[in-house]
Amino acid sequence: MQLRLQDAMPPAATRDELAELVRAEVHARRWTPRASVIARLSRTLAALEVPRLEPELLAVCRELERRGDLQRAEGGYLAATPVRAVALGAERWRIFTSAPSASLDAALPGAFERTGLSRVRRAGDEGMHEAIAVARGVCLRPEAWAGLDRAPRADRAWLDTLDRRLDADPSPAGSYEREGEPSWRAWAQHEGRFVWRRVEQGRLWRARLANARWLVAWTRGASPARAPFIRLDRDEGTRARFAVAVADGAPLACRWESDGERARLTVGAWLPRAEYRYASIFGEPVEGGAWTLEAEHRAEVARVLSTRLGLVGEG
Amino acid sequence: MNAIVLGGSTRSDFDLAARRLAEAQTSLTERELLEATVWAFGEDGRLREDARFRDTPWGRWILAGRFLANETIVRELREGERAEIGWVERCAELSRHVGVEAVICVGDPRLSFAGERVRLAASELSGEPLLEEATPFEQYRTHLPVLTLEAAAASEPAGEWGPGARAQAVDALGWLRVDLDRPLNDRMFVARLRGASMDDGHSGLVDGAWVVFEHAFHRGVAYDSGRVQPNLLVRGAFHDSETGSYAIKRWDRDRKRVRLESLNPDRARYPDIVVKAGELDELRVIATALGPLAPSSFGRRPRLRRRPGTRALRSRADLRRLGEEAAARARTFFEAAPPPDDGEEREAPPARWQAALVCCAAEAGGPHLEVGPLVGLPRFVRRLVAKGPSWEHTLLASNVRSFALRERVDVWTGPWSWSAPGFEDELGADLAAMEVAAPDAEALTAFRVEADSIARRVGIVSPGAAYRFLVPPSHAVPEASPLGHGWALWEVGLEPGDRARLSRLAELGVAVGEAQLALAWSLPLPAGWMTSARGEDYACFALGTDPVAVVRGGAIVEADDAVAVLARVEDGEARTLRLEPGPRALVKLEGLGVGRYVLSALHRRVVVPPARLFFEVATNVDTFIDAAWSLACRGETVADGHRLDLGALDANDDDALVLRAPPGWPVAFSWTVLRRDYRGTRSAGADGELGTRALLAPIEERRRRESIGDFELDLAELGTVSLAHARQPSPAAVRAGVARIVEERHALFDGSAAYADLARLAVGPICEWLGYELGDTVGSPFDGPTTLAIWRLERTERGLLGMEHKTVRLLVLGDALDAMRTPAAAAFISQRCRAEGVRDAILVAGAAWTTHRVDSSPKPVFELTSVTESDEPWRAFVNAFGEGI
Repeated sequence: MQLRLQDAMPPAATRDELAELVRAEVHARRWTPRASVIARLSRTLAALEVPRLEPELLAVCRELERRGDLQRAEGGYLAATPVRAVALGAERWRIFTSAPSASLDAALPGAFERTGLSRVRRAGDEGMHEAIAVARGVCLRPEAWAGLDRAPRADRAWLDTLDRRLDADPSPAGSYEREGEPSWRAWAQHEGRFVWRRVEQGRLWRARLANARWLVAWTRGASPARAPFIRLDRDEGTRARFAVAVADGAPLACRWESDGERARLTVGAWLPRAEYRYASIFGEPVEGGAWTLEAEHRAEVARVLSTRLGLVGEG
Repeated sequence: MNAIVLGGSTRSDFDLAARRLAEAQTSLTERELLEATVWAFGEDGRLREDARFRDTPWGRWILAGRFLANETIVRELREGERAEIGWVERCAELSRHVGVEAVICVGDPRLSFAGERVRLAASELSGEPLLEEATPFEQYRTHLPVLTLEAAAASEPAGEWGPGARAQAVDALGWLRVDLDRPLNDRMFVARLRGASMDDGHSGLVDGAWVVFEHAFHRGVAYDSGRVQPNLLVRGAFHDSETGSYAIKRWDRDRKRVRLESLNPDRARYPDIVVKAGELDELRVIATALGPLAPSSFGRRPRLRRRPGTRALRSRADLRRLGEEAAARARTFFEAAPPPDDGEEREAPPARWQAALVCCAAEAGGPHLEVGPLVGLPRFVRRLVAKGPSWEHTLLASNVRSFALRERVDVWTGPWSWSAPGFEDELGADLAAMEVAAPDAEALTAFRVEADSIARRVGIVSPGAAYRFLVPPSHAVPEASPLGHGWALWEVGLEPGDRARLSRLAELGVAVGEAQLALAWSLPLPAGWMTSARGEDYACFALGTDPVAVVRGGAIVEADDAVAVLARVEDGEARTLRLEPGPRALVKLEGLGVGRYVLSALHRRVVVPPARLFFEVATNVDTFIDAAWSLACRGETVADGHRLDLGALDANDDDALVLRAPPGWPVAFSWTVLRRDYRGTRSAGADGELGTRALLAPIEERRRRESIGDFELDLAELGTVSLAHARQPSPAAVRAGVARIVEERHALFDGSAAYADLARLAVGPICEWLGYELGDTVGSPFDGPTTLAIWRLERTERGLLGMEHKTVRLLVLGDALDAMRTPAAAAFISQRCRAEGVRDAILVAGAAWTTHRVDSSPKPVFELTSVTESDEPWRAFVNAFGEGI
């Protein structure tokens, strides 16, 4: 047992390094307020002469929550998460968990190909399955992790189910008009592309309520101000945009650009949750509704988006 | 370092004195230096006139350029490693170290010189022996082993004492330097006397005295001291009130019977021990007491020197003592375990139950009520209620028995009291002590942020720590976060040099105290956090990690201002480290073994309270979160598709439905009858559980109202489970439900109520009990030969292709059954039934109920107001009108 003064510690400032710290802190605590995580780490780093990093730490926390490494719970708490290893193919695994990379190195076979905000590990399938079982985690296919098996395809059949719901339990026309006469716009074609338009007829409608929240509704034709409707939740609304476009014979398009070993996918619309998670497994979200992903996964991602959302690839 | 060269004048007639001092290794008096060479010749001279000389604090003189070694030697002796030091040798070492010749002043009253050895003077020593590590040469020549009397008595059987057993016997306590008027031998040892039975006022054998013993056995033969009445350490089958089965007594060998005599004249308290003949074989003489050690005849520990208001941090003895204190405190922290939760009821709480108002960060909700662990809370108590004048919250008792629980609270709703519903008499007094006072509405309430980021209430704030203040409406702090009702939460990091903020706090009426020390973990971060039995968090590091702690506070101005003390609980081993001056210091702890530790930061000034970090080093800290999850109904794990009546579950029954998942994991609820309705998302709690109430709340209305439905719990990538709800009300429940409606709404059945009111308020609810949902009306009441209001009675049923919702009967309301059962009316009703694809209708005229079957004869009439009163009519009623009962 020996004590000595530590002269200096290396500053941790990059987002990838901060991600490792945030994960380690949350995993050690298991259940802790996000504000406390940020405050504690900020104080810890300040003692090492690293400037105050609250905004960066908050951004990293949010990013890890969005990616699934941390779980945001009620009351502003963050919870540690179990190990979920998603097979990317070719003995590569995307790792989702709050456990620090050092702990995973000790528990899993292979080695990290990438650490930081996103972690990819290269390891044989059999050894990985065994190790993940010991770590009480789960191995998943990308489709299962994303939830594709639990989400409907955006096609005419799904729109038929909306119609049946509309028949079975419609909300009366004008139900929301007493909340300040929302300005309804339909998802309709204009000059060869789909946009939200103020028109008389449509199926999928959207309006912003007085409380600033978006309301998405499905009708037989007229706006919800004048026709019975059913309300769609946010994910259903997003999916319906793709489905309406498919049903109208004008599916939405995405743009593919190649940059050596990376491919850039740009989608003009927000993806439904399951498809968003699927694209995020293989790619890193970047600004402007775009992802960069390894070129080897381009065909697979394009196929899934085309099959499920009717997205037509360009470029 | 070069010699110090002083300016100033010199006197040539002092040259001899200078030469003499240059050759001396000690200080000399002015008289010794000048009497023979100056004063004897009638010259008047004083050494202070010559810059080559300087006086010592004790009025003696050394050469001005010499290094005075007294302080160093005194400090080393006070550190307590050795009782004496060879000063000549030490001065030589110091000379090499400091670069100028070191000398010692023999006039220093703190030191006692004996030739070339120097010790602390008697006034500097305590009465406690100074245990040393004796070299083999010193053992049994200048030093004797120190044993406990128990250890000495346990050295029996005879023959085990001696060189072979020596190391084993003496290692525990150490060696003591003794000065006796006789040579030492290897049968001697020193032990502390216990009890006063040998205290006759002049023997010196008083309680607590250090006594030299000489072992009385050698190779199984008693060694005779030759004395007629020796004082002996004996062990036998007798019982001594002070020591048990061994004793120090005088043995009068002239007596015929073996009698172990006490010297103390108080015979009532200290009787002699008469050894019976049959016990003689058991009697063993262990050693002869040669006599007590006088204070001057053994090495003593330095006296603790402490200035008022200061903490002794300098000597090794001080630091050893601090380590022992730290280890003792850590033992209390870790080992104050609650009694095992074995299901046994306990009559009274073993520890005082506490609740407090604490303050989390603004984003985490700010003020919280913290309660628990309530160790000993009887298991029959299921719920605790916290209640303020305008606020109430219920929590599960099981959650607070072993852990502290925090619940957000609005500050203006206090004070808060606690109750256990149903057990007020049993627990009222204990829970009354947990009342939490409301924060002061006229002054800021301060909370200091602790290691777990929870801030706890303090009366005085000190620089060097972070605080949260509850700001009442009477004060204005613009940068504070509003909490509502004019209250606000102000988070402040109080740096020691931030005078502006300190003065502002003072202006706001906050008491500002001394700067504090604060300890926190730096990088690498702890691998885990555990909770002690007292509900306090402590860090856990994986074996092989070198934890680093940061000491903050700004109170460390000089190098000796503060120390860090690391102590291990298991063996009390302690290490110390002086902290670098400055606003913060980093401490790296290397090579830690598995165990529990406390790291303390102690300031020289006692007004600066110590800071402590408790932690553990373990081999298996990185436990992963378990991805497994399960849903249990009344204690039984249920599988996907499990069929049950969710409407029959009691939301207040903690075991009715429990989901166990990873902590915080989100669970999306949906209810599917014909379509899937998203019913919200809830996160599992910190313990990974979602209880009955949380699970049923999203479907509270529908599980009771709807006959079937699929209740799906979606845990995203971890999986889903669906419960097939099928309402199965018992006939007794239906009977009670119908009777209640009839009783409460009997006025509607007198025939005067409008059809719509009758259907909506009375008949419809009864039909729901009978297994139908009241659908839409069919046609107009005036379509038929008489006034008839017709509704569809619908059911949702599981079919081969999934759920289907269909009309199963018609409900026909009229003024009188006779008019409804005329041929024309019956034909009209049959025609409506055929049009709706059903074969039956229920005909209701006030309280008179009957059924109508297409193209069939009239059926019996039931009087609703009396049908529930006896079994037979009720059974017939259910058969005629019920569905799926």
